[in-house]
Amino acid sequence: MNVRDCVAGLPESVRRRILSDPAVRDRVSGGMELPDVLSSPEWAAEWASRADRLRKEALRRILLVYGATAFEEEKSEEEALRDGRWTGAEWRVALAGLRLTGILYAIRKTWGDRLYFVPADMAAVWQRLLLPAFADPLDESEARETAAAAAPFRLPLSLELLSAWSAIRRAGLPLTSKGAVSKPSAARLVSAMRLTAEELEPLGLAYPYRDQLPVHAALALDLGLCTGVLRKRDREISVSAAGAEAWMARSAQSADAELYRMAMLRYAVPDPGRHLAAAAVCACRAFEWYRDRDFLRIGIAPSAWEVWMNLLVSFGWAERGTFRGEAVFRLLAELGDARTPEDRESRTEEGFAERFERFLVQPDGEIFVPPGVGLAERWQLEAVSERVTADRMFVYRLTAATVRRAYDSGWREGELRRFLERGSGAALPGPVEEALRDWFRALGKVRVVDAMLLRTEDAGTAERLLQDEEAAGWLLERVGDRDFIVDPAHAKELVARLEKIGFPPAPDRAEGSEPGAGGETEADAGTSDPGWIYTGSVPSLYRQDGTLETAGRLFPGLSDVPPGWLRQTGSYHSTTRRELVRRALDWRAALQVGEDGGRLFVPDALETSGDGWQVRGRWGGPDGAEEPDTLPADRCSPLRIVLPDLEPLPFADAPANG
Amino acid sequence: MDESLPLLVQSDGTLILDGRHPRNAEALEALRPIAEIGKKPGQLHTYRMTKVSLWNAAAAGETADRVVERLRAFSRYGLPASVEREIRETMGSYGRFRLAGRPEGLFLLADHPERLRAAYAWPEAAACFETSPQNSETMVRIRPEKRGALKSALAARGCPVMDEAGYRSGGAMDVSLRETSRSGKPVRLRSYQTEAVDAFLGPSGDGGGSGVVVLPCGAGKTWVGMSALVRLGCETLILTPNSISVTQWIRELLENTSLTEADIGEYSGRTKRVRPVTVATYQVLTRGAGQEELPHWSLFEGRDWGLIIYDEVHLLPAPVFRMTADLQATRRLGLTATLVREDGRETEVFALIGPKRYEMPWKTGEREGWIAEASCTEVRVGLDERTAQRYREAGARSRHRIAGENPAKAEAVRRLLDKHRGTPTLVIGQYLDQLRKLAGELGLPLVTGEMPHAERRELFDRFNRGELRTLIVSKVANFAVDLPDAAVAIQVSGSYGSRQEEAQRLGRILRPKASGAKASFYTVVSEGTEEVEFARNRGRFLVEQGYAYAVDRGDADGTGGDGI
Repeated sequence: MNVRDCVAGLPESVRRRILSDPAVRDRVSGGMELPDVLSSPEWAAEWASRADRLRKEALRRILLVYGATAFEEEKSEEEALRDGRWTGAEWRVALAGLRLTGILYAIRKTWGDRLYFVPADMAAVWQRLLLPAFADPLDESEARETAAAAAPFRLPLSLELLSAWSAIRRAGLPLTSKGAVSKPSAARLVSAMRLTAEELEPLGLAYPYRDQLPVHAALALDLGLCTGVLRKRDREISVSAAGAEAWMARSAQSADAELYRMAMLRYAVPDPGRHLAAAAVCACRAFEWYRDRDFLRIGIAPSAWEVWMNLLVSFGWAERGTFRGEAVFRLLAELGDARTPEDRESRTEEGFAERFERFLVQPDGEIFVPPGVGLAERWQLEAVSERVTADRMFVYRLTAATVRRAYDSGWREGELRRFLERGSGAALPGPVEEALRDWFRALGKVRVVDAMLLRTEDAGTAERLLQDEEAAGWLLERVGDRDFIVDPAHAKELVARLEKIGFPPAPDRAEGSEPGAGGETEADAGTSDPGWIYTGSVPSLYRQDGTLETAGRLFPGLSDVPPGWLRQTGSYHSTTRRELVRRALDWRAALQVGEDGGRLFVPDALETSGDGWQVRGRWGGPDGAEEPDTLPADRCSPLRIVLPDLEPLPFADAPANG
Repeated sequence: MDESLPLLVQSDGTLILDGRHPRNAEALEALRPIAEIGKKPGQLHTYRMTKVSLWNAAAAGETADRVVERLRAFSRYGLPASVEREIRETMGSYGRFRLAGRPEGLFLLADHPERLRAAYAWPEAAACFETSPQNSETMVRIRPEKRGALKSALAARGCPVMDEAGYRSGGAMDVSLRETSRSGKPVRLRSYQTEAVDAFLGPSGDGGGSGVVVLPCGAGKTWVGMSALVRLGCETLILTPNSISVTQWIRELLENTSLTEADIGEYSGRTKRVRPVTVATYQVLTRGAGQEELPHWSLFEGRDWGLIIYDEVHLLPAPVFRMTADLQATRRLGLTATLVREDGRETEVFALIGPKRYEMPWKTGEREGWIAEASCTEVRVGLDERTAQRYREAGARSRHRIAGENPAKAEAVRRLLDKHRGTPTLVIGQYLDQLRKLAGELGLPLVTGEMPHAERRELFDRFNRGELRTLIVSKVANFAVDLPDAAVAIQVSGSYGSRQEEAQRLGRILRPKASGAKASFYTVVSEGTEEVEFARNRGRFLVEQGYAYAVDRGDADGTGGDGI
């Protein structure tokens, strides 16, 4: 779930609290919309620069342990306590604070459990701010020493998918009545791909009809549907002309960056370690070697790192290697920048020349397509020629058969010539021009067209119809002595006229025609996830929780506690001390125990025996080191209850809760 | 990415060079030792780096480091890691195995004992070992008769063998090049021909002895063969693709060397005479292939050959490979215009004939004036209505012939002959009826396969002497007929299919012209027929070889072409 969706479902009370933060308020007053503020890296950086240690630590822990998956409030508190660095009080206050700042969002399950989550599109931003890798690339001499690992060549995913989608455009992808992709169609689709199912298996993706559809085909469908290049109807998946046009307006680089973003949200989010790896890696500069260990040390699980890095290799986005025995990697594309609107705007003639490379038409009819050629040109080339080589340089070939195919899909000689000349920036070589002329000349001399026929019983009836001026006006052409081709646009008027003049038409009972057959409807209209693969996004299934955290709710009875218990250590009677300890236990708060400022003691249990009592717990040491201990009543003095800073929290419920 | 560089390296080792780039020539020099030209139509030229091309580079003394460094220096998008690895592995594999001759026998040496043991694990290699290699051994005795089989087996496993076992001298023969040829022309090798022979023989003049020389059609490969024969002064067996080539070789030897008719034998379908220098066809050697003993195998044992020359080595048939495997102690020289074999058996050429020793690219030859530049034109001729009707109604097989024999082609040929009046011209065709008719209409002599050899020879000689300016020749022209002065070729019908045929046809007209004029190659094609597509395929091949190719549609509508 992204920030925009989260803000849309935000309870009013929480929204108001978020808006009251000066960093948000100033931006909104400056004209930004709240979702844009809360997804802006600048706002996040400002927050990180002034936030207190507790909240930043909590957010770090969330990113490391939960990523952008939803986690239960209570369970997370238990887990934080086990970590030893936290008291329950600190954890609860930190979560509440993060929520009221617009960083964390809360949903409530039907049976009452509350779950928190970081919006998936902000996890990478927070990772860069709070868990930076501080990774310097290898210098030039070190890079020369680096040995790339053996791996089969893979196209950048943008081009891999282009081939797969092109196969769908050419042959279609019919679905069975149950909505499955037939095995032959799936086989045709994967034959257009170099990716293998084995490479994607470690992702553990779940999707419908898994036994019939290899995972790489599912990926091509998933990303096709999510980018809008493909659309699903009740009986087929096909290319959406408008969606394809919008997507293909990008450069391959921009497309890869956008696909990376999608892959991260769809295939990395379910695994927090993988998500963290995905977020950390995309900040790297392309073609520079980085050490794996610089990223692993921010806390990414090695197994998750391996899965994600191997996926990047399979998607043609990265290369792995070794430098003096250490694992290193480099990106083969800039993955951190998806610029959609700019791309579209800059496709003027001048922009074209500046931003995109040109392809080259060779006199033997082959078309060489260097890496910088835009997707739009590649998409058209897929339509008008055959792919000979899919490598760094793509090679296409014009043949009589491809020209025939292009003709069938609406291309005409002039149009194809203009496209080739514009895309190559040069006049066509003579032999190619000659070939196009030859091939097109043979096409279109005859056509098979659908026509509406009016069939009469006999020539006499036909003659009589011609004598009616109004009916004759809609009869376009006489075929033989008893049939007419009629203007379909005026079929209704013709039928009405024929009835009027005494020739009510009999209905056409063509075999196999079923009333209402062939109607296609958008099957998935209205569902929030357009893809094929299940992303398992829990937050999108529940409404956001309207409860506003207050100091009173986080610490029940807070208003009844003497302020001195919280302010400074004091020496109390044993009964009072026991009351303090009990209160701290209820709140899962720490105690400050001892003379001269004392030490922090986190109580776990109060043990009583007769009139006496003792408290079991642990001394908090530096860096979360624990020191279990049991304190008899007389050692619990002086003492106070330590609560985290409650400043950002309202003390009590707001008068009107949204 | 460095956009100022001219080369793009594909992940499969294909190299694409931008011919427009200012550093194109520099990059080309870097590629020449490591890659074979694929094709070069237009501005982007394709080269292929293969196992064999890299072995050839290693055999010529190149190192993987230098190759990688050079490719990096010219690559616009860098060098794919997989390609770098392949270069290092492939070039590194050369020299790991060596064959050495010792007084006690023939030995295979490996750089590591494990490698020798690994080779022993391959049955086809193990069959050549006399003993099994022991744990720490890096040397094992080989059965001498298996020298070729072992090299072939190891090359197939990606392990080329450096053969340092030496060669027998063969029967000595006193032979030299003449000062002037029998017909009075000075006999002088061109510089590249001398370089080619030097490269074949090696630095000391006798250390080499097996390998391939690659020269373009028309660059005088026969001269390289003759010179090698003279330098080695030994009995020599020359294998050629057909009997016309046999005749040509014999004539050249008699014309330019001190050899006499008594020294030279012909071993072909028509004659089987073995002499100190014997010229044979591949066909006669392969006759009876499939039998346990090839009947003509004795030719190899008939004399003490010191050198075997394989003309057009890219056409060497598989059975001859097998024979060659048994002849590894004899020096072997392969001559060809291309290392690319249509059957893909380049590895066997490398293992059994030897590495590429020398190559001169076609365009260099043109630039230096050693071969003629050629322009290629397709002339379209319409079908008259009656023929068009016949064509439409005919079955697939007849259509080809109807289009080929289009009577309207005669007029196009006549106009082309008028245009090139006085220039030595060949008219080439597939169908004898058509050619006879043309010969009758145009009053020109016709050479066919049915013509007695002597008569054919006489016509060729008259053509060479300039007494005849135009000859009509049938399919026989596909083979190595020596017509050095032909400057124009007009093809009126043909199969248009094989790339080899195309190269040979073009070869006919690529000899340098005394006038310095360009050679012209015309194909007359019936418009609106399948000939157009066949011709387009052929045209594509020519374009891929770097030749300009134009279409003249002038005659297609019966108006006559400006270009003619």
